[in-house]
Amino acid sequence: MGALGAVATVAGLFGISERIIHHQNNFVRRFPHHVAFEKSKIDLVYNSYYFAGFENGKAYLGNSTTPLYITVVDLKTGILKKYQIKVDGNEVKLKAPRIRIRGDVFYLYEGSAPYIFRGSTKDWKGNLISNSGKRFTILEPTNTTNIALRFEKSGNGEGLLGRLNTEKTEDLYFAENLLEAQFDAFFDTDGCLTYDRKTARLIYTYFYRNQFIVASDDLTLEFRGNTIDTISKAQIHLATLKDGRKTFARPPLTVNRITAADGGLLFVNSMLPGQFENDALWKQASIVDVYDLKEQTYRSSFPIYHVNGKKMRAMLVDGTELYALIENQLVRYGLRENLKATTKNEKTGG
Amino acid sequence: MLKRERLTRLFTDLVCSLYTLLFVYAALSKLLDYKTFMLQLGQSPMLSAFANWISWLVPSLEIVIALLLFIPRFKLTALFAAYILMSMFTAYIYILLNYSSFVPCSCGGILDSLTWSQHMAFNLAFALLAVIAILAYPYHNSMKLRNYAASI
Repeated sequence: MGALGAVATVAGLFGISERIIHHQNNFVRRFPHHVAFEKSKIDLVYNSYYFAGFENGKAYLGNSTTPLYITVVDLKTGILKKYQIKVDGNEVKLKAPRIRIRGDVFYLYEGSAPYIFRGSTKDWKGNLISNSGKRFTILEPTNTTNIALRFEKSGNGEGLLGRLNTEKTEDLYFAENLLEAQFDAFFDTDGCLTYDRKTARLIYTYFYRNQFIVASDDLTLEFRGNTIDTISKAQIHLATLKDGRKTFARPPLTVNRITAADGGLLFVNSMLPGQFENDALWKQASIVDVYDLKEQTYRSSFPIYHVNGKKMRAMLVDGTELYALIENQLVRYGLRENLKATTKNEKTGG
Repeated sequence: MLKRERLTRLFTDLVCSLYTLLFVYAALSKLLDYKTFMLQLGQSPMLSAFANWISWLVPSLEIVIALLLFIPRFKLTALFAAYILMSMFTAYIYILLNYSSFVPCSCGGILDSLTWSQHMAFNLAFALLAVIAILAYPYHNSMKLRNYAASI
């Protein structure tokens, strides 16, 4: 009787605790061992690369200091190849273009102008497809024809998600209901957009509050999820400059910094330590939280270690591989097949 | 006094002393490095949501039981409580090994060098000692004893 009671009590606590952690997390992270492990590093020499795309085992890197060059990294061999992008006409002044790639199509764009070039990765020649309209800050291709964009509403600069058919540019759709302003629309709707091509879902994650938005690739809302921290209201304090422009009175509290999505899992680099966490780890690594978008639960977390004291700048996930740009390195991490799987009969020093 | 009674008395006292030693040691190693203990509990796949109050409840219980084991009036009750706590620890490890999503590494002090299954065997042995000590309890043969024996 007594023993049964003891077992039942512990089992009950276990059940309740699991429910709390995965469904209504009280900001306690899980760090199971060996969820993510560093496999190799590729030296890129420069630290100004960003991810333009990932196709067939090759990472496409743009470089903000040489914006018309694309570097293709063969991730199996580690061989780097460089291509120059050529665009037609002189009617557009290129200042700081960015590149995104999906399939064999590349987009070269500058949202503050705004213009978009589109071309094939076979010859790297871009044709102008749009040279007017609303300014935008993010471009995320969903396939070789359609792109998702985050526009800035004129006036207050509030973020607005939209979709554009790049073969029929009059086919433009604004998803008015997706982004929600809290008080200052410009800053508090800021965030990052990522696309999960295996499930064809777009995920927009706010920088300054604990929310992400999951939508189908035609921008129909599926659900709004929460990250495990407790910041439901953006903590931004603004001051107005003499010329009327607004700026931060003090640095805003960033909740989520970088995201990636693959196969129904959302990876979020969070900036906020939870309860019972090791401060030393936060000084050496960027912490990535994994969410299951199908079950709508939090799964677990793992660290991506700094390189020469520098934080991860970007990440990308493909199946059981995670690629991170850190300092001048492309760092490759292996992910355990099922991030929830067990490491039974294993014990390392506590 | 009969030889047999002396032996059982010796055995019970030995079990009580062993439990006291174990619990005081366990409680102190937790409290002296409280922050680490809390971090580890937070990482426990089973109790992380309750890490806050379990982190002080468990060492407190261990100390209270260790004290009561030395007060003759409460000796039997304390033995029973020690047995229940040990059963809970054992159940914890059993569930951890069989049902949890991953197995952490956390046990302080000398127990650190045990694997989880060795740890479970260790706990079971201790629980068994408590059962024998309760069943053979020599000091008085009361209702209380029978109740405890019945509810093991």
